Amino acid sequence: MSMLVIKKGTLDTFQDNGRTGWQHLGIPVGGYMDPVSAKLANLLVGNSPHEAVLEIFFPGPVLQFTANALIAITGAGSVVSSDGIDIEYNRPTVVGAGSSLSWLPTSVGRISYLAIRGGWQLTPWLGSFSTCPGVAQSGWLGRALQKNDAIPFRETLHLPFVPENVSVRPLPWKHEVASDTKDPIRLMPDSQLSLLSQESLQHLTATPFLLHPNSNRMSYSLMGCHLTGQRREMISSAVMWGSLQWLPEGQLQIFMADHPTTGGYPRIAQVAAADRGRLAQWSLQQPLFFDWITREKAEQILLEQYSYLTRLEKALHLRMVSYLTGSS
Amino acid sequence: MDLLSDYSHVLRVNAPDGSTVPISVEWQGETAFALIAPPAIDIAIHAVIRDFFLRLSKASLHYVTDLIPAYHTLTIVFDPTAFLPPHPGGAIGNLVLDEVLRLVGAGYTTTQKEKRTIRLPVCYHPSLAPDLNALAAELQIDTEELISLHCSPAYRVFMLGFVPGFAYMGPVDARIAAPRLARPRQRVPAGSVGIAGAQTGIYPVESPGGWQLIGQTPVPLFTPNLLPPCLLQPGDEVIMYPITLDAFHQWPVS
Repeated sequence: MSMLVIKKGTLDTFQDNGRTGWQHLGIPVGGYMDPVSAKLANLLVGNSPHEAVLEIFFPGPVLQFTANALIAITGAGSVVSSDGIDIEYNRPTVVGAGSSLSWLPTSVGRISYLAIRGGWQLTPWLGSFSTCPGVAQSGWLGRALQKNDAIPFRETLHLPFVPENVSVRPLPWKHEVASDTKDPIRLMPDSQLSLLSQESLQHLTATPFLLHPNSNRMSYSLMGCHLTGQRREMISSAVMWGSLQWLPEGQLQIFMADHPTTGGYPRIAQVAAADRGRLAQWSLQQPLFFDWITREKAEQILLEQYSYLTRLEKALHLRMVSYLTGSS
Repeated sequence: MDLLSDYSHVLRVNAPDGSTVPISVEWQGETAFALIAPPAIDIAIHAVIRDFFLRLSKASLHYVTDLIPAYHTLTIVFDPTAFLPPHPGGAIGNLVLDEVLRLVGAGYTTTQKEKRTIRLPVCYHPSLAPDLNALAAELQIDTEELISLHCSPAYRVFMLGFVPGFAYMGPVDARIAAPRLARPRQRVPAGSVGIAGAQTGIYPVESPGGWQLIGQTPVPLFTPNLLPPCLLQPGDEVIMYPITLDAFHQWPVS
């Protein structure tokens, strides 16, 4: 009763909501890069939104299931089964014992999530299942998945209306979360914004940037206008997921989920928390624009996002219960 | 839109040395803000930051997810969704700021009991200290003097960062302050003791690193199954003392 890695992907790690409360010891929060897609995957299979999911970067893996599993896939890309069946995203789906799934290359978005009903048997560290690569803790052996890993899952699946020898069986409901992927990423000013020249301040929200291909779970590097201003030696202090650092060469770097807890470069802006997932999924070819948002508005959209996920949790729970009790 | 709101000098607090320290507030997005003392690598300033850190830790505010002290800043990270029913936009941030300022505005409260001193053995043998001799030559002092200058002060843990358990300590004697390596090493062994500028630090786990390495401690600084997993805490006083290569290899002494 496990998930077998036939072929490893670029970076396949288990993630949950992250490890808060330890940053004063230099321990990063980590957690999923696109919280909304990750939580949706869990809710579709009837898990708690805090259950660990598998986060997949492209090119993705090939994974085989040694027993029937109820899964949901969300986020970017497309997935095909070993029988050549396309797995529909955002829909709970039974995958039969022996079937394997291949994540196919994509040019739109960067990250896919896989949830399995009941979750995987993982060891938490400091209250979280998120993989902490710097010290090789939690997730699966504290690292990304490798070929021949076999990760046991917790629940044996008994579903009505699904024959034991099924290969792929989609369940009769789905849910998509609309995302305005091309809208600007919204920023609030941070401490050292005033160091930028007037011209560079204009450029920040008027010119497009592109993500550097080496952008990863720790940081996204931006290619674009060279920003100038008044350079100053900084004394290091805490940084956030979404802090925009202005590097000595004039380029920008945005800290992502696995960022170190402190940094010493000037911070000029902070990405709105509600836009983290959109930024994480930003395609390499797509020009990225920034826009300003007030702290008041940013708090409001974050609460709206949270409230939406809370309502979704209830609705999808009820849908699953009605299916399990036979009303199909 | 007005890009920079002014929260300068919202508070003045007393430091343990009798001086008055002005505190400003800077928002770091909608889910965090920092209390900021004047920028300095200074033990009195840091004592104020640590006092804020201890006080807010004890207050166990249910919406605070992290308190991150650094040299002259304490960043308070909170979860706006911990407040229900919904508030008008921005109201939650203001509520959290007001409560934090009320708590830290009451004056310095850290007691002598809350001071911790940690003694750490360090072996300065060249086989464990790849930069020691070159650095001494560059600074034009004896290796022995460099070692003695490094282990004479009681250092302060100003901040942890970079990797779990990495303590930024100082201030280091100006005579042995040294720049980072031009080319960082891909692999620095766990326990390596380094210097960068006026700071000294110990790598808790094997990692890449650019500090000049002058010794190594046999004491584990990161033990994942202990709570807390990191030996050094913000505000700790650390005293390093030299040990021989034999003592290093036989540590802990049976």
